[in-house]
Amino acid sequence: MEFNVKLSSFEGPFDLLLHLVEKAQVDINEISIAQITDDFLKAIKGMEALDLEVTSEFLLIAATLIDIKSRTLLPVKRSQGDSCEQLEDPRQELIRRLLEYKKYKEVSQVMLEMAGGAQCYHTKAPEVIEPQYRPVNLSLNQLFQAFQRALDRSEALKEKPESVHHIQKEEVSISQQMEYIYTNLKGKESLSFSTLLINSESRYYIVITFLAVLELIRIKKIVVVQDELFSDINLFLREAETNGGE
Amino acid sequence: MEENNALKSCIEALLFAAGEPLTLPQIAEVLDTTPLHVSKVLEEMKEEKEKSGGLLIKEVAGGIQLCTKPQFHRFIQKLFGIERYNNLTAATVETLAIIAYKQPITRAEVEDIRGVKVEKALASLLNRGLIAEVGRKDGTGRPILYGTTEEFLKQFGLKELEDLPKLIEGA
Repeated sequence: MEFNVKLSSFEGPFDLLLHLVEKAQVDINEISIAQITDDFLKAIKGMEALDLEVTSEFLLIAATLIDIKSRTLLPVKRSQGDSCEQLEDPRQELIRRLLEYKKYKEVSQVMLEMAGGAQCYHTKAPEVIEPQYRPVNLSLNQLFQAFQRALDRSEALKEKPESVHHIQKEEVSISQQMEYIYTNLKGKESLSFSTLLINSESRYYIVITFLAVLELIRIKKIVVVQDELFSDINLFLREAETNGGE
Repeated sequence: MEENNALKSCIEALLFAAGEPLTLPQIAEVLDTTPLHVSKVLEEMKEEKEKSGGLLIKEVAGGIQLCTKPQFHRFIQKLFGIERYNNLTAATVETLAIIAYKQPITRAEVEDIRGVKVEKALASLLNRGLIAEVGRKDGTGRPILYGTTEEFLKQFGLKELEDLPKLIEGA
């Protein structure tokens, strides 16, 4: 039966109820509680037979329906002082909820179409406009990798086999190297990392240079820029801020 | 008028570069004029664009945006080689509809209307940026209140919330 096929497509008890009401072809306000309850329970049985999960929400509405049905069957109890007062229709609350749900179910169809329609209008992403020599956010990792590459390339790594290992006295300090780099940069527009390390005499020198660069960055004397991934890193003198310092 | 044409071209350039909707005051400030003036010029531009070209000017999410005409949608899809599916399920849209019309609203209130749990739908809608938490309701538990976002307006082609379709009341 095609009804079985539909059973799996109900979003919830209200969805099913609405469907049953429509099938009965009656006005929601005129529904026969007895009929609707029977249909609903039958549907739930059908769902169980199809091994579909009958969630608690369905059971709650089933219980509600049975409750309303029983109330319509019982004789009405009139309380004292009750003349021609309108007796509460036990179906009212349920009908109200059903109508509320129906409102949103119908409008959501319309909205879905609107979304589909809106999809046909394509827009552009905003332009990304960046100032020229803006330092790329170099992570420490990238900087280190550049340093590692420099280290690999440098001659100093071609270690000569030594019979005796000499512990040499420190020749250059970090601050001395910082001075050197800074003065060097002043005369030029930029300095590349690899150029800095060209005359490296020892591994120690390379390390000191790297530390000097890091320190210069930290005290905001220079900026480093990498044009492309894995390309050389260039050092620039940091321009003084014109409006307020940093 | 010469000046008007220059203005129109400039507005077109601004809309292109911005991509996202621009408000009348935003455009007016850049062009050193009033929003009223901009809106008048835009009216002419809208008509002109509708008659020719592949683009049109749309009012969306409280602003103006340049976008492609719907008839070219399938070509654009072909160009990008993908089918852009909405894949919003009926359940999700129902939940969204309730929030859109009744915002701000709590989860429990939505569930009351829908008759089912909406946790999954809410998560999906939050994920897509169509709804957001807009506050908390006074009372026990101080439950979270939800409302729709600007992204919602954009994805459904709405200028503002007032443009939502009218609900059909009663049976």
